[in-house]
Amino acid sequence: MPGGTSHLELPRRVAAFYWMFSLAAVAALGAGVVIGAASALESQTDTKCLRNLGEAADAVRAAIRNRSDLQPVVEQVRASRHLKYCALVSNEGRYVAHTSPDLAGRRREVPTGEVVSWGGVQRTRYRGPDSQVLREYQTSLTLDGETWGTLLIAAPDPGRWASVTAAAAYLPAPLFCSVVLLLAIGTVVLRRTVRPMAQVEKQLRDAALVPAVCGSGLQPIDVPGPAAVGWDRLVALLRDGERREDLDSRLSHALEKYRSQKSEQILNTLPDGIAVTAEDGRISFANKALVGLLGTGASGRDLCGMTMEQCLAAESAGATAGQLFDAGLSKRALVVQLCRSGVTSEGTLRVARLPLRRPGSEDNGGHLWCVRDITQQRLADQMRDQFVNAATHELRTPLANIKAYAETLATGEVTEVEEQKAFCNTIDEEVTRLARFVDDLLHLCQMEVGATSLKRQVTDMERLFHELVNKVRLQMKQKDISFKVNLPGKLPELVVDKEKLTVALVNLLGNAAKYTPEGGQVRLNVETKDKENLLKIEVEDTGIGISAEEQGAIFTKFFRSSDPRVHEQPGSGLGLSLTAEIVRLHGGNLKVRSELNKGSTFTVNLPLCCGESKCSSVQPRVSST
Amino acid sequence: MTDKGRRVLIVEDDTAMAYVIRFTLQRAGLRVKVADCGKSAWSMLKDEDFDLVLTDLLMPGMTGDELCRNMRADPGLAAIPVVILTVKGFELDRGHYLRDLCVSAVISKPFSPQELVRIVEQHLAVGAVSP
Repeated sequence: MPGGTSHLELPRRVAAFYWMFSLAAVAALGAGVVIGAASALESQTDTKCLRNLGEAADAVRAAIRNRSDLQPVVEQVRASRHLKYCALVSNEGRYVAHTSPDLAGRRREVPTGEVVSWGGVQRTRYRGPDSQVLREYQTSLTLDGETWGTLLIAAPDPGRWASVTAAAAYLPAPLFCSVVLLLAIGTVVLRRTVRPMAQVEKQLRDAALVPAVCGSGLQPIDVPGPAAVGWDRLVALLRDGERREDLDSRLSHALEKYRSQKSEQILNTLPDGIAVTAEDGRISFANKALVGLLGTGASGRDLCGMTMEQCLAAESAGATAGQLFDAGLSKRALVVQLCRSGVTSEGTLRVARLPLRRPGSEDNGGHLWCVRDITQQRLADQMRDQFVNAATHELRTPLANIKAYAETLATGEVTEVEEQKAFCNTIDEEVTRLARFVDDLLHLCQMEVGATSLKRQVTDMERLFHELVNKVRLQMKQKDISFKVNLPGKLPELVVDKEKLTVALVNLLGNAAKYTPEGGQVRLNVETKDKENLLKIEVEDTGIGISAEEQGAIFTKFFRSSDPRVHEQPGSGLGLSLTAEIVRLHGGNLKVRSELNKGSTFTVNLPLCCGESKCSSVQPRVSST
Repeated sequence: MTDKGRRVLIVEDDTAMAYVIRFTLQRAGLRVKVADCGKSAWSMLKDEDFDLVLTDLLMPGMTGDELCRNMRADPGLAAIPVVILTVKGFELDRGHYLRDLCVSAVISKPFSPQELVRIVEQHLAVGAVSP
């Protein structure tokens, strides 16, 4: 358990324990020695006293034999043996002689105390009158086989302390000092041994205080020894691992960042608008295209933080938009078309919304939005549908007429010759009409495939124009249109695709006739402009004209004006685009000038090729649609 | 002599087609009038009585479809049988016309004039339709 500041360091603790146990051992040893010494001392004392007793007994016996006075004998015994007292007790229990003279003749009081007997000798340890502990030895005195009395000698009991001090006296000081020295050396050696462990323990304790173990917090220890080396290796390994982990995590961060940047880059190059919304509907990511689509024209408008509802609602409304924001449908993938009728833009948006799930759960994790501007596509689809309708009409109507007229003729219903002729003429016209349309279709196919190419030949332009005029004269006449042709005196020979150029110009003249009301005027003006190296062909009419907005669109495929007067006339919407393509392939240009209800002027400028060699080097461009 | 039961209105914007149809039906003994668009057909229907209307679909202004609806919506005209004559062929939803607009027949162009006469006579004989 991590201790507080009161916690001792390892070496000190070890040293403390070592000292504690060593001292305990020493103390035990000392105690043992003391106890041993004490008992040795005691037995020594006993031996001495017993010898004294024996010698005293001999002296008393000698004195008794000699019929000397016993008192001086006991005193002498006492003095020479350093006894406390010496006494002789008769068999009746009276002191015969005693070193304390006042006790002579008195009755003996047997002391009470610890008694030990060895054969005929008895030792009593008791506390004397002056509170001194005495040892009294007594033996029965026999003389010539006759028990004469009891001999007593007493010596002071050395006591416990005496044995200790004696034992201590036995321990020589050098021995003691060498023991202490050994202990000290032992401590030092112990400390030294323990030092690496001490450092390790300290570091580990410090590490325990820190909430997360960090290898860099652990240090190698500069202490010799295998444990230290092992520790250093461990620390190095840990640091290595950490470094690697750190490197790994930095690498993976960098990689992630790179990937997300790359993803963002990719997303930002997409033409479709992509957005990601969170659960609350707020945009968390919007790519550039989306900002362009929905940001109201302001560049760099930040959509993040706004809801898709806000962004889209500005553009549109209605049931389809409502679907996107219906909470009940939030888990479904939806694709919806929204019509924009905003101030800044018109058109149609295709909005696809995919629900995102939080990883590992079914919960709503926001949505992924894809917004595409399909205005052009829808326009193209619309025009294509228009074309299909027109094509159906243009193919089947002439066929129906041909069949109806032919069958009627065949049944003989038509009796009058004039009427028969009229019927046949109608059939003929319808065939022509059909053929023209089929040609248009074929040209369309060619243009689609990109196979339109020119077969250029040296062409007599005057002849071309005359044939052209003949082709359209009837049409003009039928509508009572005043058709005037202005050709220059001398028309050059051009290296052109005669057939295709005729088609192109017939289209222009046919349109002029179609869209000019009865009694109107159509002019064909041809001019050579040598300075600009151009042949200028102008078709001018006093027809219904083309509105300014539509003038840009009339050359696109399938385009038919929304003017009802145009719808009245049959047409595929291909003529002008075909004419424009043919003129372009010839290296020329096609322009229009028109005023609604006043009339239109279409101008074709063709380059005047000077010499065959130059023109044959012109490669027809493959048109890509 | 009454023409009742034999009056046909042709609604067709293509003049050549209108002419041959009128020729054919007149030869069959029917009283025929021609309107060149839906609008003029509507005003003719209001002014005169007809026993059958033969109409094209694709016309400028009011289409044949709209003409039909308007007729069915008008109590005075709702019962007049209508025959549709159209360039639309297999792509047409015939069910819509036959069921929803109570059109008597749908003929696709090109058609046989004899066949046309037969169908017109057939539906004139049937008489009024119940929309």
